[in-house]
Amino acid sequence: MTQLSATLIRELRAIAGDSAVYHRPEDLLLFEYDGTIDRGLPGVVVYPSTTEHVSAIVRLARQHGVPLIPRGAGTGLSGGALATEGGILMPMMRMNRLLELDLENRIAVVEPGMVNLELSRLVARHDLFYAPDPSSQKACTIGGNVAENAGGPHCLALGVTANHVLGLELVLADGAIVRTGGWGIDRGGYDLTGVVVGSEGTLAVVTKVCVRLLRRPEAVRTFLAVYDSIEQATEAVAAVIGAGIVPGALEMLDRNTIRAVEPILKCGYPLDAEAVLLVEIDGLAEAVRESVARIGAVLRECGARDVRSADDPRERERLWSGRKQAFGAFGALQPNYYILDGVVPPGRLPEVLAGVYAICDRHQLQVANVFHAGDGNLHPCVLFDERTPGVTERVLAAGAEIMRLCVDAGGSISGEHGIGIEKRDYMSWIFTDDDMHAMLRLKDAFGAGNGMNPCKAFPTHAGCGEIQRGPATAKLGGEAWV
Amino acid sequence: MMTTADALAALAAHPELDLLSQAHVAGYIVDGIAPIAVVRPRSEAGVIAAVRQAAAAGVPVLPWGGGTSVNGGNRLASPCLVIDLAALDQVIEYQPRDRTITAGAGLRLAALAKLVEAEGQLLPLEPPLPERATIGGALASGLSGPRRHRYGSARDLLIGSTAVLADGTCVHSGGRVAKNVAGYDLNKLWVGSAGTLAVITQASFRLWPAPPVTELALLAFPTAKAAHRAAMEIAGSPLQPLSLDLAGPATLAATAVPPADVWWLCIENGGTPAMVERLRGELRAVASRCGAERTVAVRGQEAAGVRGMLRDFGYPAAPDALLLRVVTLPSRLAEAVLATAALQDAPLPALVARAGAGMLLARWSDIEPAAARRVIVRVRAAVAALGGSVAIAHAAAAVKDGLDTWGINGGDVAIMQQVKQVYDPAGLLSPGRAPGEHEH
Repeated sequence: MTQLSATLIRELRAIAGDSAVYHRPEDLLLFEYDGTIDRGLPGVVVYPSTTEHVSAIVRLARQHGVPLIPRGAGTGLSGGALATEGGILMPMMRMNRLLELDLENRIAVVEPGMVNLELSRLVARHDLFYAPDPSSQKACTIGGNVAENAGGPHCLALGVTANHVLGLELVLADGAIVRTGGWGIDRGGYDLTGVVVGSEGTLAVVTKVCVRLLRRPEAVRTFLAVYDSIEQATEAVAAVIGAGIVPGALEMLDRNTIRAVEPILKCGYPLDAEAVLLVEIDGLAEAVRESVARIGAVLRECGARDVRSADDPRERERLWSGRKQAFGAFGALQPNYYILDGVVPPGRLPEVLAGVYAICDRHQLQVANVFHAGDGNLHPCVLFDERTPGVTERVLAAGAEIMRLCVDAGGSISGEHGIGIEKRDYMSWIFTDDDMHAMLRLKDAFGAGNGMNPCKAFPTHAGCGEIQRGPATAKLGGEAWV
Repeated sequence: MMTTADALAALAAHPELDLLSQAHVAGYIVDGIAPIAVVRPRSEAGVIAAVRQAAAAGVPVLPWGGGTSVNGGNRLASPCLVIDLAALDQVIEYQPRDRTITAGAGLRLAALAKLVEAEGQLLPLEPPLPERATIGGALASGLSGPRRHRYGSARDLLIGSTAVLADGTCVHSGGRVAKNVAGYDLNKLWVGSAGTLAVITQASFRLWPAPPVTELALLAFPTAKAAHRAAMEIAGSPLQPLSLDLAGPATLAATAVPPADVWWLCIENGGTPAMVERLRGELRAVASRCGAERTVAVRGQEAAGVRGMLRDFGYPAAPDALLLRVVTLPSRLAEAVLATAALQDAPLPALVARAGAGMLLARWSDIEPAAARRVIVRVRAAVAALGGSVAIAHAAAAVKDGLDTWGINGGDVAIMQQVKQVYDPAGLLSPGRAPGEHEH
């Protein structure tokens, strides 16, 4: 493997300090992966502590012609934070402070390395919270959430990251530091904040995030509805929405998920159920009180054999535990899993779910479905053992077919995990070349070039054409780990 | 190079386009500038053809929706080919069970509202004059209405779009599902871009269920400060009203609400009867804590009248009117009111504020150009001291001459200019109107 130049490493140390730079092979291995099954070994890792560090590092990367990959906690599920082209990997975890808290206007300014749940914890005593709640919220960072436009169960009613970010501080590829948006003031102009959210670190590095905080609802009640068939459960999802109810969250777990989580987590899901729905209603006490009869009736009319609900925080937490910790529990079934992320119009869920099972059956793969049913955001989780010869190829093939199924049903190839490297070649299923070229013009507008998180989010022929691959670029090929 | 006459001849012959006769052109005068011609495409292909022909001849283009806010923005730099999107008014897909709708840019918002209302749903996108305003115009102008307090603005409701760039390239972004992170989110860029980046031809929105019961509560306060205090208290509470608007003295005079020298805080409550009753009680308590002189609850036609007035405030804009959009942090709204309304030697404006969003609309209905420019300069200076900014939402062409109507500054304006540059390098779309593009 080639080494980044000693000069570059020395300069990085001069910028961020000796303890901020890692380049020994055994250190770099820790940064080779994120939450996907792909890998990419960086040439060097540097932890900036200030915006000025970031600016200097970005300039240095450009000067040396090496890729720069910003990274949050590395929990991403599309390979967005992998150094697939080598270069400088820049975890933002040391920039994790709460910089401003404006209680009157319910606005916070945080550094990108702030852990998602930590922000809600910090403001909880003011009865406030930060709404986007990806399942990895105990670990993932706000900066990573901004890059991926992360969602979560409660985005059904409250919206995704883009709906809660009011302004950004960016470092552009030339090192310039720029603020976008009104930081709580709706001042108009082109919505640059809106396009940077979800751009997967390809336009600029985010160094500050101004977010909206919400007032905690007065009352919350969580319902568990148990079904003997998947069809009944999906019909219930449509019925809840059709009844004009917007739950705070509307999640589905299928049989395989129930069987994985229940023995370990004891969340109260019947082991013989085909599916359970978790429905959370929040808001005014009156609204929640009225919902008990109303939601219960809707869920039962669709064939629920049991509907339970809880408003006690501990009991609610128990009902949620199987959902929030499902992916960890899958380890009991198979050593590896591959989480997919597709979206379909909610009304198409029954046929699409049936298709997901059929595809996995055909590939002789076990699949567990645990997902945001209310907005049609599927997360089929394919379970496998990578030591089985040829299984990884089958998993990827099934994944591609499931994505195709979502697209054919009028949906999209990602609801909240991003495109990264995982799905860049599926982009042409939903966008024309013209669409993608128009999007990529934004790289020119931001002066991003192709050095900012190269080869991500777009097909390699579109986004990765002119990537500089100087001798300084360290790259470990796939053969090194297969 | 193709001449303008060649382009017009090609457009006249195109099967997907109607070239309007000179008799109709008078309705399309903007900033005192008559259009070169007006075309009404019958389809997206027609829009693409019109934009391509214009680009080939170097003719500037002005996209046209309902014409309700097209006089806003920087003074138009030159005569344009107007592309009126009125014929693109089809509902392309509506599945109530999916809570999404896709329609042509020319569809009027009132028509869309009627359609989804029949299914108990709501598109809470409420620009002024919904009988005339179109989807495309609402998105391009970025205008919002009272219910943005509960449901957010256009950027929060738009999930997908089709738009035609200045070179005729047709671009899709987003899709027809509520959650989607594939590709750069160009939807966000088109919203509020005032027709300077692309001609929006189609849009998809997420819908909300319509609240079963709504009621408008009106709280009268002796001062803006007291009304603002009440607004801040409501905004910070777990109560989630649909809207939270402040109306200045005499602003509601034309409605059923008795005119009086008071500040009205207008709150629309929605939900089940029990929720609405609870909200009514809570608001009464806020009113008494904050020193309200009286409270009134209105429903039905009366409520619709007040709601319409709050939504349409400032529109249709009279030729000599001045309408400013002042934005600050919500906590500084009372100061913004003072900065706007307490100018010496200037007539008092009528005021409406979206209190939750920190947005104040101030209208001077008939003001001399010189006086209008003085007002703009002074309001901008006073609001800048509050950390806010002031956009000119409407002014006579003479007032806008050489002025930047956006009222924004900062390092990101340079990026906005580069965005304009990459999407419209020849400056053909709504010439003169992009951020930072005004004449000095």
